[in-house]
Amino acid sequence: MVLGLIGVVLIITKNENSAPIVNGNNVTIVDGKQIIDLTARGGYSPQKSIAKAGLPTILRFTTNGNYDCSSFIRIPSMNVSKSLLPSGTTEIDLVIPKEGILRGSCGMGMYPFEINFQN
Amino acid sequence: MTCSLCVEKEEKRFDDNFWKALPLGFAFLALFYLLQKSGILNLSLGNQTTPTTSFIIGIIASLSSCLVIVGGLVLSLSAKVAKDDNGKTKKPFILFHAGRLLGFAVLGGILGIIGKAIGVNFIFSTILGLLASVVMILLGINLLGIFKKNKITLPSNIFSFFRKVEHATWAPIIVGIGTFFLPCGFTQAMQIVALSSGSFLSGCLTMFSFALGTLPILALLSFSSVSFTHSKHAPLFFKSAGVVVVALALFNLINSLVVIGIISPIFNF
Repeated sequence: MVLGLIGVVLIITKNENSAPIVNGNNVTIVDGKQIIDLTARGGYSPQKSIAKAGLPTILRFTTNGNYDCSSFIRIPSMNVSKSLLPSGTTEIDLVIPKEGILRGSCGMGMYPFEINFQN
Repeated sequence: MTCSLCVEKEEKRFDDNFWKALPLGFAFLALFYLLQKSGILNLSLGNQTTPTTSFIIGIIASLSSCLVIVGGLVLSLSAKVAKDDNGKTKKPFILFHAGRLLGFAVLGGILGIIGKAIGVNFIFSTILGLLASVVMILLGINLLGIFKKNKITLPSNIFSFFRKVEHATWAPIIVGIGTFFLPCGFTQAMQIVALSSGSFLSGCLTMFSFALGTLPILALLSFSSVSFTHSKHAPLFFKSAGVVVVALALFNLINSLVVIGIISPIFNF
């Protein structure tokens, strides 16, 4: 039984790793300002985004009745620690990101998200 | 009876229990993981936070991320206390849960008065989380009994201090109140609700209902430690608890390093 359980866990984990969510639809540019939209609820969606480097950028989180860990945003490299409202939108100003991957997570570090800024 | 014989017997019993405890502990962790992935806990509660929704969020919290840190701490402390005094008293556990409920009510009320100006400091709760992980690792290793067998002793003054305070009335109450500041995603979200509630009463109700929701599972963890001390499976229970506690503590520790920014995220729970 124990082996069976561990097997199921491995299968679930494997499926997740083999299908990274990369979605370009969540990035919009309005009046020269880049907006990256993420939804927070039991993790972040999309978990991986691709955006343009060198543009004034805002990271916008949308929540709808979210009380789990993902309602707290932590981006260590930019020293961001921010609570989201249980329902609503919260914007984080990323100023002008340089090329590279920006990594963040929830307050406990168990739900990650990343944005790949490309030139 | 020669003593070398009883030592051998002791060691054999240790090995038996340890190899049974390892899969039991991992089975518990696997079940916990599957529960998270099943999506059962992802129910929609609407946009309004009432005391009823706070209570339900409390139940969900005690079955998910909060179990990792608060539950792990409760299990490690309870198992250690129950093992130390052979399950004679339930007083420290009752005091812990009373302290937690009362602490959440009062601190929630205070957040309600303060309003949006101040939140629970992020760095403070991260440091507290790290401290809890270290305590869990020490207690977990102690429950496993690995070091006793190999004659490597952990810093003994930590444990003599622990033995001294575990029956003091104030210690479990302080730990109970302290759980308010532990990094648990749900607790933090509820604190934001309490902050924006705007009054002592509503902040107090929000946090109290939440803590009440977490009570059944946390009480189960601590009181099962007491009841298992009288069962013949006691050594197996404590060793399995040790496996679970050490694994949860390592998970917390890695996540704390992620949040501080020392390493990149590893888990996606």
